[in-house]
Amino acid sequence: MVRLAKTPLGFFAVAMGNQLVEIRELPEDPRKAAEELAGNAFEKWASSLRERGYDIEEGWVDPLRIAGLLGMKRDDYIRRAREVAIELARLKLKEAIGKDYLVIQVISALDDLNKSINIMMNRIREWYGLHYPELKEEEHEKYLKLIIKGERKESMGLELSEKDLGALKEIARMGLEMYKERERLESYLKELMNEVAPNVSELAGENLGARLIERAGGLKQLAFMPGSTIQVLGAERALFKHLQKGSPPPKHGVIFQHPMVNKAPAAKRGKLARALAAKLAMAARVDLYSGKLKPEFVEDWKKRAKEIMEAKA
Amino acid sequence: MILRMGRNIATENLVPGRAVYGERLVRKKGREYRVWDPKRSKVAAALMKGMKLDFGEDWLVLYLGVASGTTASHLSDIIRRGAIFGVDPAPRVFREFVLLSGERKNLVPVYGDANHPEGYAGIVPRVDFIVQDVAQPNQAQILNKNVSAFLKKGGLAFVAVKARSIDVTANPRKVFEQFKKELEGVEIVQEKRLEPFEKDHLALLLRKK
Repeated sequence: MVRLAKTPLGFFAVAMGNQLVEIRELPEDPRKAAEELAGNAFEKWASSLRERGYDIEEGWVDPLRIAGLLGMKRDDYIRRAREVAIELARLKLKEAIGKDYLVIQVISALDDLNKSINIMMNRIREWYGLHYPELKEEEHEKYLKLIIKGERKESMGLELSEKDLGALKEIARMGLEMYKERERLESYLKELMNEVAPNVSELAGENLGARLIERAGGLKQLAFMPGSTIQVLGAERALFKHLQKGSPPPKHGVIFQHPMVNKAPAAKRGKLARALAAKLAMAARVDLYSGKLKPEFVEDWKKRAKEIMEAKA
Repeated sequence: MILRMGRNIATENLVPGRAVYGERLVRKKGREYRVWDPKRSKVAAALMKGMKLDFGEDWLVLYLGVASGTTASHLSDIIRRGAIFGVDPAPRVFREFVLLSGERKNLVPVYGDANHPEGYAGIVPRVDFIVQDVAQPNQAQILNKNVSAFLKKGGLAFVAVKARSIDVTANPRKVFEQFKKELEGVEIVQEKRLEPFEKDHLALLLRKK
């Protein structure tokens, strides 16, 4: 009977706890050693042992004991383990961070940009309002364009020189630039989402899908969530209030943004949100593991939504 | 090893001149110390609350839930001639710990999940001390697995139990009692509630039987 150990010093078959009966060395270079540890070299080696008739038992061998059998001191083991571990961690981290983390950054940047736009617009409206209080244009972007155009009828506002107006127009141009940037980011987010999570995007739309990934902390995290958690992502306060104080449970979190949920009559929304969340949970798993678009998700969801809408209350 | 200075504690900086996470550096009698903030480290909070823990300078430590290594950096100051094997599954915070390990020769980063000790059993040796700060509903089971696999007989384990991560609805005291019942193969040596530094947290010091 032998036990196998996959250590930074190499692969070992150990008999009776203290005899190294087989040794497969690793490259001296920590980077190359880490690559072999991360790959399937150990599994290949183990199956070659099995073919040669070794009887392998489950069980742990302290890697430090193996170091001792090799005549290595404790500090030498730690030094080697650390060098290899750092390289191994770097390799694995490289794989762990995927493009879903870009999605989180982009949707957060959009949030920041929207906040900035609102702050700037409040200032600009107050500022230009000194000069032209009669201007009634609700839409921010059009308002900015009117400032730049500079047409003004008879007004009770403060008269401004070219220089005074110039400073204001500069800021208005920056405001328009922010709107353009928002558009660019939104279309980039769409592309990104269709690459990262095509099924979630198809079901929820790119924006809501990105919001769910952001709330979950990543596509993997979303894919590992049960539908019931996805249903209330973004309604954490209501959920914990429910759990602690027994208030009614939330029917939906950010999932409420889905048009089929928020346009439905209140009595149907909970059911719709639950059905959608369940489909999204599956969609996220397909996105994580295959990444291919499966149109049946949307068909199933539409069918189910129709049933819910047609059912008597 | 651990300096008490008024209402603060500090550890002697293993890498003089470098702060790890923006903590204050102070000089005293020609040595540099890093202030150890009990609001950011549950080990520091437990020490401030009077837990007695005699660290060995040459300990081998398994740290479950090492995150970016804030607490581990102080342990690294204390356990100068030993090593800390830091385990965490979250890539974003773990990246910081890998960088920190590059600067400190007694830190070994292990990217893995404490739920699955077999994933790191080939690198982590038998240890003198386990620290667990994982805030998971099954943290007692996680601890049991790691204690039985890696901790020396008579070795110590420090555990921070976060009641709200185990059950948000239950009374914390009941959660703590339940947690203690689920422990296997250890005896409780000391326990301290971590208020006011952390809400609804209990720190336990355990010894392997």
